[in-house]
Amino acid sequence: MATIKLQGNASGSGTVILTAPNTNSTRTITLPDTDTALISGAPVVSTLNGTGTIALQNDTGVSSVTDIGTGKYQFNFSSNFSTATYYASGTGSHNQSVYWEYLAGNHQGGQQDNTRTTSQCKVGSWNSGFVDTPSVGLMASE
Amino acid sequence: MSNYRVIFEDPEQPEQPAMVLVPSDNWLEEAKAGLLPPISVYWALQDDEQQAIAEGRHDNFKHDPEKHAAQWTAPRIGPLTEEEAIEYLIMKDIPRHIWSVEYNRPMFKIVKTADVPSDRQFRNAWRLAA
Repeated sequence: MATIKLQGNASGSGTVILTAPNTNSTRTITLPDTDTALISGAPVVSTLNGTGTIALQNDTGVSSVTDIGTGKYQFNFSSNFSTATYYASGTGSHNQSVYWEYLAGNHQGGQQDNTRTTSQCKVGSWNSGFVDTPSVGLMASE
Repeated sequence: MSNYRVIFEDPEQPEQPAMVLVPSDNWLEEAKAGLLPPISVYWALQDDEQQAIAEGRHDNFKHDPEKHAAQWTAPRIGPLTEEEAIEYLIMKDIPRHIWSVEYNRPMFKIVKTADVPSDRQFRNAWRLAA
């Protein structure tokens, strides 16, 4: 029979508490049969205003954003993902002169940055050329 | 909103306009609360990933589990002031060759948010003033 061993940390002085949910059912958590950390990078859900002085609007999982140039933005993550193959989707909405344009037609959106690393991902806004966009978003998770 | 922005240029991309780093308010709160690991934790991850990129194996790259977990398990460094947090952020989110190498002119500058132009008409011509 395989066993489960709980191991403390000699360097720390805190107490780690495992708490049960409020349930009347029996639940089973099955651990993976591999050497791995159960902790992974937090999901990233972030939006920014890419016009005027760039400002983050939602910054879950993000430590900063880099304004690279017109229509080009880079989201820098609070913590690195474990692998560079995480899912990432950048989106944007572009304000035309007479209407709000969504992710269609001549606007680039829903793209996955092929140069992303475990710590950052770029999102661009394109309309015949790179254009600043009032709402740029990134969702990333692994 | 943070009082600061970081403007920087990449000497390896001289055609690239100046870039502007915008800190996350949530992350700054974590820094002020003392929740960050030593910056060396992130550098170790960056080093491993850069090596994988250089060796052409980034597509299948996976961080060492212990180094990766250190982002949460390493001892925290304690509360930072906003200014210290910005310095930490520079070392975390701006490529190392920009701030760790001495050039014949400054490659980055911490500025007040209000000093960043809001008129972006000539955004791709922005340069870091001496």
